[in-house]
Amino acid sequence: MLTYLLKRISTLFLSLWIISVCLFFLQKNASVDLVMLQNKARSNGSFYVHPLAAEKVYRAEAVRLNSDKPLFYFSMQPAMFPDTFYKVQYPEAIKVQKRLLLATGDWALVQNYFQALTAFYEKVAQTENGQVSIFWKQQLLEMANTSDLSVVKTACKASDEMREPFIEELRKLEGLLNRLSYQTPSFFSWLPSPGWNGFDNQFHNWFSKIIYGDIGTSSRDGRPVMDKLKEAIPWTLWVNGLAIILAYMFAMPVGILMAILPKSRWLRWTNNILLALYALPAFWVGSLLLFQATLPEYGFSFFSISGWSNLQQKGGFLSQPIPFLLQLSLPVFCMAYGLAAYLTSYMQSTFSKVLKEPYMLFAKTKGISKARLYFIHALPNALLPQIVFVAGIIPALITGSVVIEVIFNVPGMGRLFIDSILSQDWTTVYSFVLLVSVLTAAGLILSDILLVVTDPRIRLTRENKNE
Amino acid sequence: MIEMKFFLLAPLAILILFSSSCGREEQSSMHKRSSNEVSIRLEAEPDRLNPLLSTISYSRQVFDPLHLYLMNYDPTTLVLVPQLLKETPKIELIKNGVYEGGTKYSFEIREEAVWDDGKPITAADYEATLKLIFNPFLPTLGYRTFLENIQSFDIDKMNPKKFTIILNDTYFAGLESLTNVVPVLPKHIFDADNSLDTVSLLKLISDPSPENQLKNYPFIKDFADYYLGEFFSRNPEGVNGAGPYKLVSWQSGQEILLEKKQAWWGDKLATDNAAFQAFPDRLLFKIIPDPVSALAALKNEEIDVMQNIAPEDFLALTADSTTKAHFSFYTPSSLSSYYISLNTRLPILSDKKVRRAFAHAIDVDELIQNVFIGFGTRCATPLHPSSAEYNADLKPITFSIEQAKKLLAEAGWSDTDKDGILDKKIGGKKTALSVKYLANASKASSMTLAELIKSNARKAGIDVVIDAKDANTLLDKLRSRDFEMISAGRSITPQWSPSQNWRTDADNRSGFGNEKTDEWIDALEREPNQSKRWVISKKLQAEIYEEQPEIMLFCPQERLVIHKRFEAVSTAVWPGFYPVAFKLIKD
Repeated sequence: MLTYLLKRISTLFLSLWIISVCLFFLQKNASVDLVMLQNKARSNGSFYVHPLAAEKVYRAEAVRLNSDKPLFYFSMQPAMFPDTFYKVQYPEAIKVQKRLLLATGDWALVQNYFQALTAFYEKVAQTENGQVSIFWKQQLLEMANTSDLSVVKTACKASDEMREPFIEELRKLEGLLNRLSYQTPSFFSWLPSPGWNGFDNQFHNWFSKIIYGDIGTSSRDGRPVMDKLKEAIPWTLWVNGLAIILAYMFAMPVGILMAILPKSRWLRWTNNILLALYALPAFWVGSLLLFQATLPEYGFSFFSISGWSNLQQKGGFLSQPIPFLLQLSLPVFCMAYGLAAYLTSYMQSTFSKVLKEPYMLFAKTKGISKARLYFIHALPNALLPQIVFVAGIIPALITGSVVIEVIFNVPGMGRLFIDSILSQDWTTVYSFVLLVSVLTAAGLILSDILLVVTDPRIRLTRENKNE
Repeated sequence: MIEMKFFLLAPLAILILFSSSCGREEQSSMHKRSSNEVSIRLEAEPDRLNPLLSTISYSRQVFDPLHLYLMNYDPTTLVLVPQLLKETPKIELIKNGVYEGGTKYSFEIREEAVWDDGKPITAADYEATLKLIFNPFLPTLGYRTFLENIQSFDIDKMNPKKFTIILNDTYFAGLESLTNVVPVLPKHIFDADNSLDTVSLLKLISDPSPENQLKNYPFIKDFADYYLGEFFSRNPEGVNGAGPYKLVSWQSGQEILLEKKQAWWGDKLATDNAAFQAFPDRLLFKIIPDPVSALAALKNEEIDVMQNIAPEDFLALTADSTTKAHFSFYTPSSLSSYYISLNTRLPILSDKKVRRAFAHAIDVDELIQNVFIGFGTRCATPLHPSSAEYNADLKPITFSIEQAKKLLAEAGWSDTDKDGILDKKIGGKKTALSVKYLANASKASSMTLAELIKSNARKAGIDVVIDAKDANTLLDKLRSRDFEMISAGRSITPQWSPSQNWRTDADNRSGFGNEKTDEWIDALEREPNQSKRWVISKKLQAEIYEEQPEIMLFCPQERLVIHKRFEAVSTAVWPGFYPVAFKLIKD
């Protein structure tokens, strides 16, 4: 038993590590330009810089953002890629240089080409504004954003008058273009060559902090992520916890009752109603309730939308239970009704199945009272599958429902999650996903243990196997 | 026994039913009528209440009342007036010496200007604010673009409130950029140990490299990390400034409360200077992202002000009797406009006639009706029609399919293959008049606009292919100029600065311009005389109108609702109202 537990927990750590790696790489792929995002100017939204002048700016920003390091411990890329490719920071430049490299296979040549382009731009930027410099700035804009060498060659073509002031740079560029066009990657440069990047990489720096418990500060507002989570969890726990409790309080008796009672039309109708309730989407019911139950023109209005802040101010549940329950009742109802409907029919089917077992018939013939029959013999067996279900609900307790929380303005985990994703606050997103993973794994382990503890048949089969 | 479980639910239900207080409705209205507290709905939670670091536009609504600028805009006249400064600064052109060709601005901060703890507001505070901006480890790139032109910053040795700044050239927008871009922040709060005194502002400006500056000033990175922390973004002590309000509390995800400072020195100046108006006792910002919940809160009188109401909802509110009884409705024309950007670098769109034909082919009035239910006014140039600088001689282009067809025929387009779409031989190859239109897949209004444009253009023989992408991909494509046609919105600043979007080497998406227009723009930006400047501006607007690199659509009207107990004025500047100027009507 103990060895089983230890084995499960060790796989937990492995899966967490794998999840972190996947998360990290997914985020790097999905990430919008952080430099643009963080450097907003007053009215226009962002600053502008010519693509050939951008690399300098982005490298400076990378020092600030700690992203001037390799991504992972090792990299597996075609041999033609240099170890230092991660140093290129401007997103457009990364795209273009990658494509050029894959087309030619010669990194030194690609670098020379880009340096020539940048030097050309710098010379143009220093000359006085006139027809010639405007023309070349436009051409350079096109050249910098494309990996199609024929486009670049066409862009270099111009009248002698236009070319004259920059003839040196143009000749150098055209020479490089020629070499690039004839260069093709050799077969060996395609072969994947692993490279060891050492421990000073972005993933390691992030992960080592998390292991020691420092899950960092949110990049959105500078607050420690722990604080944000601590603030949001109680609300989600209350909403989801109450919803689950109420759902079970409804489902258990009603499910059992429906299994016990003789089959009738009423029973079929109830089943259909339950199915309909389960099918109604929570977000629709939520919006409907929001309008119906909170506005004076539609009837009663003793529910209020924005009473959360008063509750937060005055210290939560203990100080004023009635308004608190009132405020919670709408979101709890939206979460609970679907779950209740599902659980009722689940309970009904498991209970009827148990009632059909041979040992129930035997117990009946022994002359036991109905109450004993149902509660001592049938119910424990019917509850077994429910244990697994309950353990699976534990992660749901913490993660919350994004839709319900947004509609009812609950300041819980679901809303925190969606806000963090939308504002590119990856630190909070990571912590959230890791938390969910740990809880899900813990929930599964818990349900396994509970099953082993409560169901002697599972223990016995195990022992038989070991023999 | 089973039945007993049912009865557990019953008390709970009874509890809920009986605990409803029927008189709650009257209570809330009574409370409202005498309350000098303005409750404002925010669409999204601010990230930081820090003017330098915040990236969400909604944050500005919340931190603006906390700060004062050297000069600020009068809400009604939209003219820059002195706020922290005693008077409008003296501007001199420098004719000789080291700074020849530059401009010198002489500032003096008001005598009575003090921080909350009584310490005087001095030039050192402003210099330290600029040093924050130029710290290479802070994400303030957007603020550095103009301020890089500072060549010298001198504080008067006799009077710490007097200082001069020399810029390297003449800029008509220089005054606005120096006085209204960032507020003055309290040096003794963010630089309590005076470590910034060792830092030279000019050295920071001259070399933006973080590694070099780290060598010069080793503590600079730690300082930036310290400034990026929670204290200067959420904590009242770190967030408060010289303004009329102070931050009291911020409940995450729920609301932010600002309170008027008692005996604030600026109150005496409010009668003469509109920039010092601050009437409400408290400003409560409620964060309600969901529009349905927000409307419900509005109807319940839980919020007093709501802007950016969906046009259909706004119309419904104007018809609703309870809302009409408690709220006033405003539809100021907002300082923003929608336009369609055409990539003039492409062979099809490089022809002026084709672009103009496109402009004739779009029924803008139908667009306004369909997307905004009439809440918009047509415009013909990048400026706002209400501005005196707007070239009123330029009329919005009429919707005329015949005119469009005529222009396209003149440009050599004809339907040779009778498929309803015009074509022409470009470079020896038959090319169809087909343009890809980039639309924002996640915004319904953007997709509706796209569909309307497509159907309109088809009548003139132009094939518009809708390419719907998500917002991030759109931004990437815009940046790399990888688009043919895209609709966008812009916010219009009170002073038009064409060098940002219309100069050939600036953030110029359409590819408009040549050296002639660049010269005009340079001349405009350096012309201190307003009427001379407006002459050039109108010339430039006419050129843009002639070339049609952008098809100007319309300026939307803001849909705004304010509670009747306040005497409020709506303004064209976003968000359409100034809560600090809300006066409680005393009956």
